[in-house]
Amino acid sequence: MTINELLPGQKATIIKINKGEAACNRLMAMGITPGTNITILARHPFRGPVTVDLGNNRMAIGQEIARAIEVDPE
Amino acid sequence: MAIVFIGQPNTGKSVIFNFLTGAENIVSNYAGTSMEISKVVVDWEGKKVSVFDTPGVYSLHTSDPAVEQVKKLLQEEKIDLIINVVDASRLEVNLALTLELLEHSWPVVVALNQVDQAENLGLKIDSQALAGLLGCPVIETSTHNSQELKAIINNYIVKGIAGIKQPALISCTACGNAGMCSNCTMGEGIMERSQRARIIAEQVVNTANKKHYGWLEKMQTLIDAPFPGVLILLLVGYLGFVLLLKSIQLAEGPLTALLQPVNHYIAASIKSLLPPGLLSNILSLAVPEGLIVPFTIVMPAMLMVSIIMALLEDSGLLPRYSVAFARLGSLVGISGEAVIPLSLGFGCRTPAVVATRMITRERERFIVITILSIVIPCAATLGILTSVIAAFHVSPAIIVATMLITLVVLGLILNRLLPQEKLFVCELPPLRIPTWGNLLNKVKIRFAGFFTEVLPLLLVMSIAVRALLESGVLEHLYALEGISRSLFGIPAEALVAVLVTIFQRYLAPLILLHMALTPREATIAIAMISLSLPCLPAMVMIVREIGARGLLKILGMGFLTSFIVGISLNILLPL
Repeated sequence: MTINELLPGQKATIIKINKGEAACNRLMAMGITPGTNITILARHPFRGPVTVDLGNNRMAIGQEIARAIEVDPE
Repeated sequence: MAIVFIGQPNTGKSVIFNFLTGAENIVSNYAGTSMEISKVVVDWEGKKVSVFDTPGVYSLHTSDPAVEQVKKLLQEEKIDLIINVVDASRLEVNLALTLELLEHSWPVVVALNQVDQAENLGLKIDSQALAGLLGCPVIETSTHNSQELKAIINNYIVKGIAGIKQPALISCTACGNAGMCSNCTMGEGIMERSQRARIIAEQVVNTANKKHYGWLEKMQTLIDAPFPGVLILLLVGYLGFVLLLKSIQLAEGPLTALLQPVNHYIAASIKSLLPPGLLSNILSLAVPEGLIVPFTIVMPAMLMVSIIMALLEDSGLLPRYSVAFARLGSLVGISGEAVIPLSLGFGCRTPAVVATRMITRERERFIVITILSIVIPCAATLGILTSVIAAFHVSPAIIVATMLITLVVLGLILNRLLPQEKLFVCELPPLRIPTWGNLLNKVKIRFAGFFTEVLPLLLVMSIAVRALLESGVLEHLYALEGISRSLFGIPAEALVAVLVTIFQRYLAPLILLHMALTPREATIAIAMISLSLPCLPAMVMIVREIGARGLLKILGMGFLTSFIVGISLNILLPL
């Protein structure tokens, strides 16, 4: 399952990021790492970004990336 | 002696830097405000100390322009001390960078910033335990209090390394090499570091009282939801725009009245000082003219835009716009991140070009700089637009529609020519109440450009235009009348104005307002002027950022856009 399939309010743990090395490094440096627990805050319509709570940090993640982040839902 | 501030975006580096050095760096509540390294040399305890403020980076191992800059600084300068600014409310993510810095041999002091913010969230951080785990001093700081950090640095400067504990040279988590690590798989290093950061954060952060919802947080929840968030953001944006137009309208009358006696005096003085002739004629007309437009239109517009932008930035609303419009932007080939530099462009394009550094993909960056240069009207351009619109009864709706259509068409074409992967990730900082001090400081810095750049430039240009008009040189260009009329539907005189103002948009009203144009002619002329080339300072910045070739491409597209817009409007607008 990937982040873009989760619904608002759903909790999950990041398992894997299916992206090239440069993109992975950037995401992981921003705190989007495997093992991180996340809560979906909102999904913007028309395939817009997904807003995610990563502990005390909020991020908006575009669809292209959201589709590449594999998660394990609670 | 050299001290460097390093930290992740939006941790408050610049606030502490400004406090310690007395410098005036722009501070905002969104990731990526400082796009360039600032250096201030201060006389500290009798020693010359170079203090550097750097753009926010998440890691030194990612590849984007900001990281390259920081790495270059660290390699080229002899660094005596790194102040790693860490956001206490987002400790886990921030510590990953701290651990990375500790892998090198520089002495590091951690400034645990925004402790008040963390406490508001109900987070208690044991900074002593953190210092123990990291092996370097950890000093609590907040926006209002950086005294202890100052004392530590004082101590360091006076007593040297002895005053501060040198961190043990921790070996690189990925390959085991001590010091600067460049030969390991960085990704693994980043992952291990963030796992260690998580373990450390869990040990030192007491989350027992976590999260008590204030009204600001409730507001944030509303704004971050697609509905009603997007509506609220649109409403705020609309109010800002109305405020801008109203303030220009309100200011113009009284300011013109105030300037009139001054201008009479200046004109009379020039006439009495200079012998009668062409020079006296030109200067006595050009100097007062060159003061009216900047003071009555450009000044209120720049001031108001500075205030509105500062409010949006400091409140944390600006990155919300990039999220709300991410989808819309992707239609014209730009990601949500681009909304920040593009909206800065409404203030002034020059810093906006610098701000495009937050976009890490080169192709997208080029697209955004092109759109910024050709389509986005800066505060000065907006002022000019309104004055011409008012003088010739031009329909603002036609101008706005032309600009929007140009934006979409240009974006679609560029997106086709430069296909790219769209990777949008944007940090959403907590909403904050802007502080008066920061707001004033910011408006002061942004507005200072009016007196140092805009006013002198306009004055010189005004004299040049007057000289052109008085000398009769322009009359030779009237041979273009036929071409100008048939292609663009405007008199040759107005086409000359367009050609001149393409190089300096501020000139538009100075030339156009002297002519007797019909609303149709004025609409075409001002649309061609608005959708053309960036001003000289912006051009200089573009060369610095993406090189002369990039600028040449943008200039070519600017000319082409301007002419196509003129021809299209000439065909479409009823006679």
